Amino acid sequence: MKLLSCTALLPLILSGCAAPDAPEAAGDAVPHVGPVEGFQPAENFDPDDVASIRESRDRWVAAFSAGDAEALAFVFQHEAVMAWPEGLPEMTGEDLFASYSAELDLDESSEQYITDGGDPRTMTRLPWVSYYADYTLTLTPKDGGAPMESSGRFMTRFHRQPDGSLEVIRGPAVGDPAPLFALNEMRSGEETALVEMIGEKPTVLVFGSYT
Amino acid sequence: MNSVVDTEDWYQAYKDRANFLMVYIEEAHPGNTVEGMEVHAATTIEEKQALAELCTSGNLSLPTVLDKLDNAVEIAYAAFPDRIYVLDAEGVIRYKTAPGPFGWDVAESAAALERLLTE
Repeated sequence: MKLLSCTALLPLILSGCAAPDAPEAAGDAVPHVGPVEGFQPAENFDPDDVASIRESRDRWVAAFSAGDAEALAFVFQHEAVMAWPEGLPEMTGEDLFASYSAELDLDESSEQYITDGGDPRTMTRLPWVSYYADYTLTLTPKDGGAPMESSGRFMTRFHRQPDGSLEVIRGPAVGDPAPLFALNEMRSGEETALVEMIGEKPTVLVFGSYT
Repeated sequence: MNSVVDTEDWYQAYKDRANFLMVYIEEAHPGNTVEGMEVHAATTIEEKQALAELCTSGNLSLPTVLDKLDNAVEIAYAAFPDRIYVLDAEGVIRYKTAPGPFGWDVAESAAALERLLTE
């Protein structure tokens, strides 16, 4: 079992947050690794303003997708409440952050609750962790107003560093030169070098496996 | 939609105008049973070769190479569990899908290649 598959619904109720300067949130298209300065909701966050809440939601999803624990901690420590489905207790603040961190830093053979397969399974500490989830975010203005919901899916893969920490694996961005490689052809064993394909025509790289 | 059929159709339609290369990386779900056979993660390059042949046996005729056991190319491209990149003739990345299975999108990738070819 090499894949941490955590399919969960994550309704997040984000109530009013302080809103100083707003740095770029890390997303898949942003070549950024590691924590940002701290998640910020929308600039001049207004809990009664739909656009403001929507922007905060998008930043939260971007931070989650990037595995940006520090950014998420900012949310979790600022009045956010995460309501889980299936009657699980709501979590807030540091408890929520600790729970998130624990999922990304499994102890050897620790028990993890995985909703994907229905039953808890034994996980092993691995050199990498994949995390994917279906999410539903519900953001409710602090002072009333209609809750807004959005759903989606994201996947993040983390690679364990020598110090034991987990870092998001990011591919090259659009506009970057493709990383060169030379690998052996499946049947003949003949070496195929990407550099030899470059120069005349576009190249399509298809990555995949059987399962 | 069948991702194998879509990919093969795309390859057949464009193989004269673009290079195609499939990189077999590693099993996304080792332990799963597919067509009555339990699939395990490869621990040797020979096992990887056997799995790659299974992967392409369903009418997928793209030229296929095997990533090394350390999955270095997969990691360099953040390609797990599957992903498509479209490079221009200079080797610059012009389009990439999000990681699969959610991001896998042959139609969008084909459209990106078509745009590239008509620039």
